[in-house]
Amino acid sequence: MPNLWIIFTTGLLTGGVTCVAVQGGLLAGALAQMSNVQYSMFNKILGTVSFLVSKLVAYTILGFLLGWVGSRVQLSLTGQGVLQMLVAVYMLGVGAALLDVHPFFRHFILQPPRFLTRWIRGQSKSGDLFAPAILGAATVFVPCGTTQAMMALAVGSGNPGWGAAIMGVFVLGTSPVFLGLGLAMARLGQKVMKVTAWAVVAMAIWTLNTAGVMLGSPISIQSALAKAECVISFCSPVGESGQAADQVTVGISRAGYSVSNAVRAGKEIKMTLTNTDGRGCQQAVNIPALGISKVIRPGQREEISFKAPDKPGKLQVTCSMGMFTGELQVI
Amino acid sequence: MIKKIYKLSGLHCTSCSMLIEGELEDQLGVRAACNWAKQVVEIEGEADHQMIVKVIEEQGYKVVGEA
Repeated sequence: MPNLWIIFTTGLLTGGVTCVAVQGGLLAGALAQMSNVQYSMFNKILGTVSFLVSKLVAYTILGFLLGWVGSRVQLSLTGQGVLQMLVAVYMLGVGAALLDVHPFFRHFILQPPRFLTRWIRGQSKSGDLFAPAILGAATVFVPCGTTQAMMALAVGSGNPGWGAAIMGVFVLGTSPVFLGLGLAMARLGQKVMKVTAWAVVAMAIWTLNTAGVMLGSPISIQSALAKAECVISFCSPVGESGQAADQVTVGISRAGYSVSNAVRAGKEIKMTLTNTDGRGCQQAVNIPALGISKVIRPGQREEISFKAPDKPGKLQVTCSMGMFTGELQVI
Repeated sequence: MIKKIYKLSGLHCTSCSMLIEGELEDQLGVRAACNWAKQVVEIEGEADHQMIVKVIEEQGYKVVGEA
């Protein structure tokens, strides 16, 4: 799950370029209609704030629904992995479209139906007191490319709460530019678009990594970092020092998973899962290759037994979101 | 009803096509359908060529030719 700060920053950048290009114009049109001379400035501020608040509420609800949709798909860890893979591929396509890598990728960014954009433009000219608020909510029907990538991320979170957080934080990020605070950003145009595109690509790569971890891939950013740490600290990875046993302990903590020792191929193994202070998704321990999924609450311990694969190798231990990982050596 | 198709460049997202459609329809009273993926805009109605190019380029996009 990409960091919410990265999502906020992406919103900050995106808001300056794509959102304000269209939505800013619509809002300005709506404000111009409703500002009679007497309360002109007050109306403008009130209109802008009501636009932003209703947009934030609408997108947070949308994010909640998208996260809920994602959670319906997540029957198993494999289901989650496949969903994350699809989300990552889609986001890479959006990133490539924003970077104008090839016209083909433009199809990844869906163009909203024309009757909707015309209805929304009509709203901005209605002069109705509530036009800015209606407009703000209606922007969920005309999401720009980056917004569509964030919507995919919300689905991929597979959790209504996370989905709402992703879309809410992203829209919060797009808000300052509407208050005129980021006008300089709007003028930077193309440069900021490239940075936004690379932010989407970076999130796509992280999502791809999460998908790989969930599907039990031994290759991941986490395992590469763990190896690098081992090289730097001259440590000998668990298991390569020759000791293997038929019992193994997996320690679960805030830092993730620590596997006590390697296990012997083909043997009946007794694994003790001990959670000291792991309060996040670490509680949901998965060994995809063995189809093992257990939830161990903080302060709890549980024993499971399984038959180790006949072939030596490395089994990935992962949390339910593919963020925390560990490695069980089979020798 | 006259129909013209213009090839564009510089669009980087669907927001751009919405912007172009909006401005053409609001300023020139034509019917505009801009396709972001193909980077073309189809215009239905009476409008002077120079004015069409002006409205589009004011938004920061280029007209690269007629189809």
